[in-house]
Amino acid sequence: MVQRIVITGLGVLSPIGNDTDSFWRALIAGNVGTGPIQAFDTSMFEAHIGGEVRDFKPAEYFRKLDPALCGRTTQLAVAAARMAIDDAGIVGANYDQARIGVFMGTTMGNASVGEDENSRRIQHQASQPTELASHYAETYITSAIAQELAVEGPCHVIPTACAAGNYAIGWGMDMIRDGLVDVAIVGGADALSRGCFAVFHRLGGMAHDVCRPFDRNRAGMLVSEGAGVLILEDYEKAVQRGAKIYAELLGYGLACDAHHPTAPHPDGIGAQASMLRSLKESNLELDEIAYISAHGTGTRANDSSESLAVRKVFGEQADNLPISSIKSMLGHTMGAASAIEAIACALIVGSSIIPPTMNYSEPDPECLQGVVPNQAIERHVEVAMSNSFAFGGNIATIVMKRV
Amino acid sequence: MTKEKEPIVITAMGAISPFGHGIDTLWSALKQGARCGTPMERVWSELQQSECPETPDNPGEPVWGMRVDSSKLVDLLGKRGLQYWRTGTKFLLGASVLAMQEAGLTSENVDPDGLGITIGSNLVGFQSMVDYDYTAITEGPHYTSPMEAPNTLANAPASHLAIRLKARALNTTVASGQCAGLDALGYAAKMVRDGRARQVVAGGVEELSPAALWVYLNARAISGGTLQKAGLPFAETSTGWLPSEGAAVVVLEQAKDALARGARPLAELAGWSSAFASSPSLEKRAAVLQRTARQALEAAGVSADEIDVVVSGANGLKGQDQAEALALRDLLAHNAHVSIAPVKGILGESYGASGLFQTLAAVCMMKHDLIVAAARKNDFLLTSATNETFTKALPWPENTQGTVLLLAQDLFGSASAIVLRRYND
Repeated sequence: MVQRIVITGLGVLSPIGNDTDSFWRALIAGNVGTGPIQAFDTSMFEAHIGGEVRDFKPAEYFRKLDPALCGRTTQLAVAAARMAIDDAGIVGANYDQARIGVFMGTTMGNASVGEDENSRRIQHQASQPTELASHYAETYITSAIAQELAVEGPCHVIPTACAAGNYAIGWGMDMIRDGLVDVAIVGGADALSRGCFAVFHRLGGMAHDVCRPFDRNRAGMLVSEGAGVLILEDYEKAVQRGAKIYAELLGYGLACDAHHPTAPHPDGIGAQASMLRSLKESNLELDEIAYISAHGTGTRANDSSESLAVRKVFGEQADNLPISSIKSMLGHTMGAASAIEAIACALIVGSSIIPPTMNYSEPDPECLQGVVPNQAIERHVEVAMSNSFAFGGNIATIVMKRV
Repeated sequence: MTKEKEPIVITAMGAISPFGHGIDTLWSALKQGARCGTPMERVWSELQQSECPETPDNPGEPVWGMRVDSSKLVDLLGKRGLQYWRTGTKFLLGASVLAMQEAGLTSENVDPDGLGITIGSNLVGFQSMVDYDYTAITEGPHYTSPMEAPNTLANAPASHLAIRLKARALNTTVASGQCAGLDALGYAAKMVRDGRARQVVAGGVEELSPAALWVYLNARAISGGTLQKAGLPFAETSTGWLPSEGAAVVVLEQAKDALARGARPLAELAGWSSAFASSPSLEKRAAVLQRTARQALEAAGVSADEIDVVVSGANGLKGQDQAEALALRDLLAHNAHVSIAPVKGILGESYGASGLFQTLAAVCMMKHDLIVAAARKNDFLLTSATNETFTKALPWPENTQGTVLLLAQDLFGSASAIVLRRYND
């Protein structure tokens, strides 16, 4: 008998909302949160649009550490973790703190610390405080969460680029099944990074106004920021303590294209493998998947190879499956993306509402046709699948079910 | 990790280290107790000549590091693609090519969908990211290189390695500071056990870039002084880490798979565990490290009294070493035969790679029936450590199972442990 793992808490900060309720309301209202970047001067770039978490006050979430000595990625991660753990009611739930672990994905880590140092040197300003500089290390993301929440289980940062959130979710699930922890705090975080912006800018994959996933006229992705954290627990224990259950996490699949450092495999071979592996682990037939949360970055290459992979896996059903890419509203929150998309999936299976893919006007024959365009729809979703792809062809898919 | 019937075994090793290519150079350095080190340049960016901050505690004094000679890597890797790989990627690819050769795994006999990669690493993308950002804002975004773009990420070495080896089962990088190496092994073992991969190339890699050095200096993990006083495990006089770089790799698979393809298991990865100390006090860190060790031993189904060697994570940074000494005092209270081998006294502190270097040292000791860079427990507990404390080569105690405990602690509170033991059919 496979142990059942459920999601009992959610925490999110995003360009469309800084808590789960406002995020969800904005998501199903189709609010586009991207716009001109405020965090740094974009005048030397030819693109100026991104997604930012606005009105974020880190001090509201920190009780032990000084947020000024944490990079913004760490700040966002701590805030989302605090929200999720409060939502799940873990404190006071009689769990041994040694059996609560933290597993977080990130793409850029606290790159802002390095970027700030560059700016200071160019402007002949003093360096940053030594503690802040040393907290660049990616492991500080989970360390800060664990210190803030006083938990003492394993703490691992999984920096597998833009698939990192799903990698971390899968690993947290494994840690519960392996018996090392009872509760896994999982997710991903990334602050807006000027270096990351420069990377996508140079690769020519950025949109200049909005992100149009799966649209014939899609022109690229938008770099964004955010954090998403989910609380995973054993189903029986969650029921026993009367926890609110959002969804059941059925399984995950990993794969790697092993093809190119930045481009996806044109046939999406890794994506196919990852989806198939997640289905096998979840013990599901193809026709049981009722919705796909697409990676859907809005670049020509990603959306067509993802579409091809879904068509290869799902055959005739592929173009009838409702899919959406919430990156049309949030932009690409990097290592947080798949974690935030997992939160969206948990809310979708619970509410029977599918959020739209915004900015969609013209179908592309090369892309999936089941895109939910511009307006949320009501639809019972028993099982949802969520894809995430990354540089290096790293791929992770998760599957969750209504409880 | 619960004890299961089917053992997970190490079937090959590879290394690119400051001592050279391969395992033999590493083993001979460990046997001879030969330390090496060079003064490090302290510039923040490879593009910018301004110096990084002075050593907080000893301004003006040189800091020392152990560098890898990269000049011969082309012989191992060939020229194709080399110009697009950063230093850390070259180290990892070099070490992995050597390990795959030793494992007898080639494109002819490996199923790409069964081959996975798991790498412990923390700072390999940082220099590239700093330089990318610096070029973009000073010269202009079009002066950055598209080929350099993926190298800004922490998982760049793992991604390049997957392409090189055609490894499609999974590709994971773990960044848990100094615990990343042991945690990558724990992760990899779980992937093999659950059948997510048939073989996993599990490695660790780190490079001593100016940006990495900047992090170490700001963390006060290293300070200026002489080479003789840098990186002395458990020693009062030590000035902090002797930072090192390189890559260390093992191939993990289920014993039955290894035997079926005619491979010889070098050691069994019998247990792993990991935990976090939520406050930085010495007592808390010692208690959590001890708990981690006990959890790993329990997973391996052995007691603390059965440990023959502790391949310690001590590296000459006082706070970390004192916590480990305290943990070992309790853990080994009733073990009369154990030796302590803090191999970082020779190999240096390679951060995310260090757990894998400890693993290579442990497997070499098993293979040669010789415990090196070590002291008996009582010599370790009763005396204050000096340069000479951990120089002994001791024969492996007789009538034991061949059990080794590897320990790691991170600066920010993580702790990890691995139990290795001799493989017996």
